Amino acid sequence: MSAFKLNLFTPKGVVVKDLECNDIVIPTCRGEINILPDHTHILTELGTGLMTVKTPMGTRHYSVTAGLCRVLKDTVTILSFTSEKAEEIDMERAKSAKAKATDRLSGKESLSDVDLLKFRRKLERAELRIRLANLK
Amino acid sequence: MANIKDLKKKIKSTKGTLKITKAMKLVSAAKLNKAQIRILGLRPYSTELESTVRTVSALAQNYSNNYFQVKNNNKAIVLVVSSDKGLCGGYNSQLAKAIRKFKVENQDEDLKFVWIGKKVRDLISKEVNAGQTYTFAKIEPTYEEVRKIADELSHQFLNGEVGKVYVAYNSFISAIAFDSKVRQLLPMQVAEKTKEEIKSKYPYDFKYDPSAETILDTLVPEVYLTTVYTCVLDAIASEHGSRMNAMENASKNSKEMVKKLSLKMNKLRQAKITTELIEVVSGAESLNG
Repeated sequence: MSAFKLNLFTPKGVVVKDLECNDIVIPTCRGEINILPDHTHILTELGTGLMTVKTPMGTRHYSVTAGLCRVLKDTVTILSFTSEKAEEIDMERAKSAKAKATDRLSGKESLSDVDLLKFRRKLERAELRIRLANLK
Repeated sequence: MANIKDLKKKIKSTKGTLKITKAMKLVSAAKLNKAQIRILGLRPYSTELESTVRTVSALAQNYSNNYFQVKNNNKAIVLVVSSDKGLCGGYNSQLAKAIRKFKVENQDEDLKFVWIGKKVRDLISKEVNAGQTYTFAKIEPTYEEVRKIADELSHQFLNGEVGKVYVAYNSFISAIAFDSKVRQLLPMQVAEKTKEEIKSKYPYDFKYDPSAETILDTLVPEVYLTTVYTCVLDAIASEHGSRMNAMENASKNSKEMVKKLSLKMNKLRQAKITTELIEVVSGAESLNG
């Protein structure tokens, strides 16, 4: 079975370089897309979510937040603002972050628009981390 | 002629200097390690991002963004990224040299300089139109802090106050080498030749989602920000590298100095002993005689 290569770069560092894989599910801004070998060339915006990568060595999961995905010939390049592996997640921290954000968003106190957006994003990220950690 | 006491003092002080330079070298090595990881981690991201934007903007017909617009304004702003501390070899003076050269080459432009790090500012602020200095809360700047500076500069460009934005910095090559350069940030340029090259390299177009224009609209500011951030990290890594080198050389020189001084002192000491011996022997001989 033919395979293709995956690169996952973030400003903080290289997460994955030239990883041989044969099936990737990528969250884009308009829902998930599945990339298989010999995919057409696409360029799309990333959404926040989970990325599932199937390699000959097994399945791996990564979280990605806003960025860019480029599929070109046999290389998939993903430029994400942040990315984490399932093994890196601190479950306790994610849970407490989720609780905190839920508490702030519960409407007990009025929030400014900026804060509202900030805590929504925080909640989104925390939930994503918990989902990712559960896949371990 | 130097006497033994003076030499002893000098050796002691040189040994003290040696200790300091050695310690500074170790500190710089540790900091360089961290900075190197940061810049080497960021580089693949920024180069990929930049090449994607270049490709897409070349393929997309007639795309135009405010960041690409060439303005009819000869005012330009130069962001100079240097260090706050000295003792780092030719780091700051080489950058100052590169800036002077750049200034001579671009005399028709009305250049205004803004600063990160005060060393190069102190060197050349009298020769140029100096503007404000940006500082960071900690020594290592965060992404947010760099973004604020970048936003401020791009804002001035976008509302037409200045026609060009440059950045002058030391690009990190390796722990022992850096390259001082002045680079144009805005307006972003893709030369016609590269455009043609890209077009011939990609006879097909991508499938975009959402449209190429929308993607570019979000990517272009991102590229600009990442470029500024890369420059700042580059400068930090080369600062530590340069300092490590300078301190290594200083340690080497101190060691040599201690060696030389010790030799000189020992020679003097021996000469003194010899003279004393001769005095004693000749004294005894004169008593016997």
